[in-house]
Amino acid sequence: MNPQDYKTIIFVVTAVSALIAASPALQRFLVYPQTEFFTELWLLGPEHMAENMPYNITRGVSYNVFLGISNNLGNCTYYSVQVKFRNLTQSGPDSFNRTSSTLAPLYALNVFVADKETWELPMTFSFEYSHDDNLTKVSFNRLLFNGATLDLTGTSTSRDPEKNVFFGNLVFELWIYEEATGGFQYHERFVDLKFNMTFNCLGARIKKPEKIVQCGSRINKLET
Amino acid sequence: MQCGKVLTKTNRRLAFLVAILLSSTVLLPSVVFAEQSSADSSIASARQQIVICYNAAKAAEAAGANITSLTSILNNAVSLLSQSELAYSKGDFSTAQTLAVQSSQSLANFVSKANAMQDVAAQQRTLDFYVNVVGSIIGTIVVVVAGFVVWRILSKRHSQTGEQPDEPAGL
Repeated sequence: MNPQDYKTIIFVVTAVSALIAASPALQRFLVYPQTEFFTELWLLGPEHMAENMPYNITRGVSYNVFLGISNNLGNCTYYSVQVKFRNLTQSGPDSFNRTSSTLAPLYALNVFVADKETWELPMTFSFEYSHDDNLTKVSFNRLLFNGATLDLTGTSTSRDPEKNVFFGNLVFELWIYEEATGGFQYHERFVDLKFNMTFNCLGARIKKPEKIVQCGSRINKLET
Repeated sequence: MQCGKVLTKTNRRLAFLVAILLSSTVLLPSVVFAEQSSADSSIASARQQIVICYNAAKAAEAAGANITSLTSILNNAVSLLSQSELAYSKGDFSTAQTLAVQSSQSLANFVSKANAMQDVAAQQRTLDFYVNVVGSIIGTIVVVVAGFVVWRILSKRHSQTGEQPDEPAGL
């Protein structure tokens, strides 16, 4: 048989074998470099789903949520999640202007996340607060956050006339360590939980709700 | 006389109490200040150490090391530091100092461990380069040469046997 007949077969077999042999080297040079560098920040509800977020808050009751960070910045990153609590009138973070709240953090959750890795923290929190006799103002005492007692004395919230709720806002701002400045810079990301601080309290059993139940450090007028 | 003695005794007791009060007002703040200053320096030292270790971990990661174990150690250290800072903000300087020292201690040998991981990763990367890039290039050359040799052998065999090319059918 004429070798010309085998020419195509030999050429194809050689070319395919050469490509297979060269694939480990080609893989190194033909992989597109990562072009988008970003961090994901999220909050999930108690069932680890994006639902059933706590809204109507009862004094002394613990609520569970999950906070997650996913690092896609290309290297191990030192994050700080600053926990802030605000009422309707206090400064909050702004998504459009990309600014953080001017409030001082109550707590800082510092964490290192390696590149392309995810970090998640189960968070448990409860509030201690009281309200005035006219039911127009809620005064906060403290926030119990993952076992830490955070002082909220001096923070209060008034009834939001539009929504008829006592607004409270727990904010988690993401900050990132900058080597150049040797400090944390706002990473232009935040997640938050909006609350209605109700007058309910843990353990109160009311037969006749003739009077509004008060509890905590204030007068207990329970009709059991 | 007895009345005078009682007065003297009372005076002495009063003087003693005043002395204790005075010394406590002078000594207590200085003790608290010393505790605060000590907690301050421990927290600053822990912060600095964490940054040094973070840089070592980043270098190991850049070399290709899997730094999950390192980030776990770092996270434990920052958690202790956060607790320390919280205790400090509440004026519990003693606890703040203890926690800051624990944070620093948890990072003992961290840099050497990170450097060792970096070296191993660098060696692995070199080996990987030789196997994947150099080995692959050599393999490709071998395949091409082998294909050419097969072609040449077949051509030679054909010319030795003197076989004529097949006529296309119908010509």
